[in-house]
Amino acid sequence: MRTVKWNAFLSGLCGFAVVLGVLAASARADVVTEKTASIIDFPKVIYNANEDTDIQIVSESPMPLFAHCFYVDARLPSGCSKEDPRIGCTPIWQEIDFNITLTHFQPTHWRASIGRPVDPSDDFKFGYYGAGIDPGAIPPLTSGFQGELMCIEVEMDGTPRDGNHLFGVATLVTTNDSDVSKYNAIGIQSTVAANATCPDDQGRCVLILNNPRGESSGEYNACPQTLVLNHVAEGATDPILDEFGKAGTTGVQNQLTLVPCSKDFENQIAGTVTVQLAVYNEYEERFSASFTVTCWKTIELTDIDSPTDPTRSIFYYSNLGSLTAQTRITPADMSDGAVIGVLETTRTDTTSNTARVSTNILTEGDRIKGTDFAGFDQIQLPVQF
Amino acid sequence: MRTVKRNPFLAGAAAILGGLLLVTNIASAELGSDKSAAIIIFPQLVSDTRMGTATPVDTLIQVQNTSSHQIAARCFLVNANSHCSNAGFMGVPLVCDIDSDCNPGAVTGGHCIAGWQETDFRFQLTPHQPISWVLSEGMSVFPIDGLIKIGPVDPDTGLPASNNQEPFGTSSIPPAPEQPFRGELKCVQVDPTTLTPDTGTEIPDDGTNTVNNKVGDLAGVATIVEPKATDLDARAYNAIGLQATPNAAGGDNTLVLGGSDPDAAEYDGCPGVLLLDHFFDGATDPVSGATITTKLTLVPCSENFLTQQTGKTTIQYLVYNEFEQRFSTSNSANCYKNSTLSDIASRPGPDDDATSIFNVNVQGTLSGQTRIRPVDSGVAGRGDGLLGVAEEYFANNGKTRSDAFNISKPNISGRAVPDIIVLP
Repeated sequence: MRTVKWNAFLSGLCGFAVVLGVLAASARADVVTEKTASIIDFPKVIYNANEDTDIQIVSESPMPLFAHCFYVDARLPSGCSKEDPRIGCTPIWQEIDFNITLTHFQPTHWRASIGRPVDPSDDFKFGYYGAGIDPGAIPPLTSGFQGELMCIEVEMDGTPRDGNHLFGVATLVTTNDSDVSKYNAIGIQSTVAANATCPDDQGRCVLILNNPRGESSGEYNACPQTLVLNHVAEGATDPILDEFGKAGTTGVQNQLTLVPCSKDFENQIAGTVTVQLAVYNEYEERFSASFTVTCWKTIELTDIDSPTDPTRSIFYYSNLGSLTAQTRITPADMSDGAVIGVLETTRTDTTSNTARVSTNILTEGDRIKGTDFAGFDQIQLPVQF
Repeated sequence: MRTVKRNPFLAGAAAILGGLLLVTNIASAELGSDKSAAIIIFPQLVSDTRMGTATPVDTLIQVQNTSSHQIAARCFLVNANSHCSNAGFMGVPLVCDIDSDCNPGAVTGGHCIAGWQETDFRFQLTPHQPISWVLSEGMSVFPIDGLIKIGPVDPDTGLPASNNQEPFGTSSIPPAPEQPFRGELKCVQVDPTTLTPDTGTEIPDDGTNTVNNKVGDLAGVATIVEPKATDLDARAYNAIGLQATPNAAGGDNTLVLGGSDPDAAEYDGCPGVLLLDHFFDGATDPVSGATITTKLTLVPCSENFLTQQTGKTTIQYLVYNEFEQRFSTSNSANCYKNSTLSDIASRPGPDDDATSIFNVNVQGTLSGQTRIRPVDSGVAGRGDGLLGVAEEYFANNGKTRSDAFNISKPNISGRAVPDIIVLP
């Protein structure tokens, strides 16, 4: 029989180590756009004849950092001009994954259309694209790509870890006139429990987004219960363009991009969330609408409730009744997970010049299911083999 | 002779205790632009509506109440324009950026003197109400004015019997006091029931929205629009929010932001380090061929609106490129700092930009990471926290397009010395 001797010194260490762990893990739980995180998501990545996307990622770690990234292609199948589940026109949800390695505090970047090959010779091309320590072989995208990019901090062997060292920004560039708009990647922070995520007792690798606000009992922070948009009414005359006598007839346009938090990369199953929208104008009058997000959705606000005639939409300025509005987006079904996204607003002047801006969306609450914190949202990674 | 017996348990505890003391027990700063908050800051507001100006620009400011109850806010618009000491003499302009602006032609001896002048105003917002105004115009009549347009009755039992149908005559937003204008805006959520301008009992409030754990109900977006002669440009950023702690309820006009004493912190603190993920100045966009330049705007967290004072803060910068190479520099900020990245480490103006450590000619890679750390000055009653936004400019074929983005913070503890905002 083995005798375990009580070690007083170690007991003292352990006692305070517990205290230390509690202090270290007391961060408030939310998705974030201005803090480093273990998962970063870029909801809108576009590459086509008119538009491209610059991805910038930094490591906030003093040690080498590894990340497993997933491009999700959400194009519609050939022959589909618009999304219509009734005839099978739903996003193809095709994922491509790759790994990146960053040295301490290393920034990196790549353009979606080009990717970034591992090319030691480009280190000698001072100031040119590709100069620097290549983070890994990043594949280029096919023209026509629309979808998202997600990167997850992992150990060298690919198992998720709770580093919270990643931060990213995406720049959407219009190639003909260099119009640009930028948004911060959405970050999902993790707790120490994330280290034990993979593999589970069924051999799967499932990241559970169930850490409630103000606690550290879960693995990854929960996705938000509500998204809150603060936007100009569709078709409204921009007051600054009007001030300078340059307001065009098109008016302001808003394009909302949403993706479900839940993803199943192992079984290639796209998340589906039906969202309810509550719209408040400046006179405290309330309107509502709803739509479904499958895999990835980018939609003009007027197309949500009136795709055939934007002027009849509740988001259209003459129906909304005020210049700006607050739109609150909540999953409608009690069993659905959450959504995250970005908003892009376009202004047009009298000579049809356009200018776009992207803004991160405000979040409220945590989408947690039940008192046992079984998360609504889960990300299942492909099993390593 | 006294014999000291070593206690192994205490030795282990002491070892960890030493490490514990090194780990700052400062509450992690929870500021952010993606949550509603009790204090919101717009670091960069610009306007130039002068007749015939070559740089027409204005800012659309959107503020919203994310809660289901009425709220109120006190706001402070800071005019950070610099002015020529010899304005009006032989065509010398009033507003300037650098000394040479005050010495046009044969004029000499003029100096560009930094300014800091605040204008405050207040307004109320009904449940879920969004408002917006153009910086140069302000808003003198609110959508719900309590006289002609009255909103639904607020069921909050904590409000007066009139359920906030009192005239909202106190809600008014002035236009920018000067053209051109550049500066910042800070709005603090206050208790709507004690909104009395004469006695100054507008007590900062910790918010009413229980979904957000009563951390504040304000949120905002600023959109800068430049309608140029032959082009159009726009950029937008979310207002930076500082959430309230439970200590903020019923507070006074001295707002304590963060610090090492969690029982004293009324609002979340400003970060110890800011993290800027950027392209180096002069980098060429690989597809469009545009040349990229980044401008950084920093404003102090600590401001005394009662005595109209801020302070000078030294800033340390660490710059990493994609070769993992590290550079550093420093400068200082007083009230409001807006400059290109290259000008941080060189003389203001484009002449020295090519040799700046923020320039692609020096760094050799297109993107970089800059860590920005304000240095504690040790001045009593004032912290040295900074907040800011970045603006990126893509210049190509004679046209310039821009975007704006919020600066991030590493996942480390906040500042030990609290920042202080004093309201009049």
